[in-house]
Amino acid sequence: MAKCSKCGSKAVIKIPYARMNLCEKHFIEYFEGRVAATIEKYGLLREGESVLVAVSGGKDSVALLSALTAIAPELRLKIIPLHIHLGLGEYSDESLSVVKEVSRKLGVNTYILNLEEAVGAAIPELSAKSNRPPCAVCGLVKRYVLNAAAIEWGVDAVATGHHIDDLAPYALKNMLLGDMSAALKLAPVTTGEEGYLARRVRPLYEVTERECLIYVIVKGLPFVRTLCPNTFLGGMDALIRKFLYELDLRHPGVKLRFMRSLAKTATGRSTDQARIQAELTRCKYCGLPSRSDVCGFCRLTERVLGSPAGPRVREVLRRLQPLHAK
Amino acid sequence: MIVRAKIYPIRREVTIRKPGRKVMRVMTLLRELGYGVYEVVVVKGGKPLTEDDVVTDGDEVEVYEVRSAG
Repeated sequence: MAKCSKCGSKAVIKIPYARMNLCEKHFIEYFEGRVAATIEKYGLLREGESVLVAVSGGKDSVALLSALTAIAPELRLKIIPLHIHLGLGEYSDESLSVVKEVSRKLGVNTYILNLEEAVGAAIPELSAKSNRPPCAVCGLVKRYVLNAAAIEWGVDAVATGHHIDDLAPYALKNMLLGDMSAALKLAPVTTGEEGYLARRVRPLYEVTERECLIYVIVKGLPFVRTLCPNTFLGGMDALIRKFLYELDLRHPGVKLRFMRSLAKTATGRSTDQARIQAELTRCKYCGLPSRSDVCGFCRLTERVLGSPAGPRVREVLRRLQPLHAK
Repeated sequence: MIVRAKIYPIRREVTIRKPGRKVMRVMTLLRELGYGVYEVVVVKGGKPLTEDDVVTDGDEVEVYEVRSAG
């Protein structure tokens, strides 16, 4: 039986890169401390700021919401969770039920946006009628709604549950394919512009997917235990993930060093980030960022529904009330 | 000995039989299931187990694959 490196009681996790075994209590401290340290190290959030937390109900977003809620009093953060019901049948219904239960347990008031009610169509219909893959449509919709909500509610930043095992394979894939500029998008923080583009932060930048899973289990929090019906686990992404897994097994901490080095590079190239943002314009329908006169979301919904849904979504968000946890 | 494993998120149930044994290390269980040590988290009674822990005859465990589910 492995023993906790701090107190000698039964360990629930071995962390090879940190050369530590930790019990439940000390692992919770470790995980939340690591999130707080990431926020400080990369300047993700400042004291007194409000942060919109994207919570899907999966282990990663539940871990993010829980850790941020735990450290919020010390950093005087205002946590505003938002869940988007994507209309993916039983999977979305299970996700909503998990989010409600997590919100109740953590004592947070979560906003729920039902995509079908707000837009007039859910992901399957938007995907089928636009002839685009559901994951591409889903990503576009989520990015749009999160940014729109942050702008409408005057929130300082949007936090997402991307951890090192989401980001490292994607970074490596982009490097292998020669798309170095995509690396900029994988920094722990991307700058925003008031009233237009929300700052995006990744407080789980230095934790692993396995740590997220163990954290939610030891915290006794529910999480969605089924796969999204659209999940595809093959292709180059799966091979790169497998490679990084094997590499980190033999050289513990290599993934972390890789992402730290990437963060440094991305920070050093902040002028590139500014250039990318300077290329953005405002969508003629909804006024939010776009690379052309119509943003991706308004273009998609206009094509599928006959009219752009951006202005409608912004209006729905303005009137949205949170679920009360207590 | 018999150990039942419920595997998530694919929701598969597997029964591991090891005649003549009374205990089995989690590392062995994972080998039987075809997983690497850090590819999954094994949970018994709501508590995560490390690869050095043991399971005993009649135990039921949950095995969570560590991969994004959505």
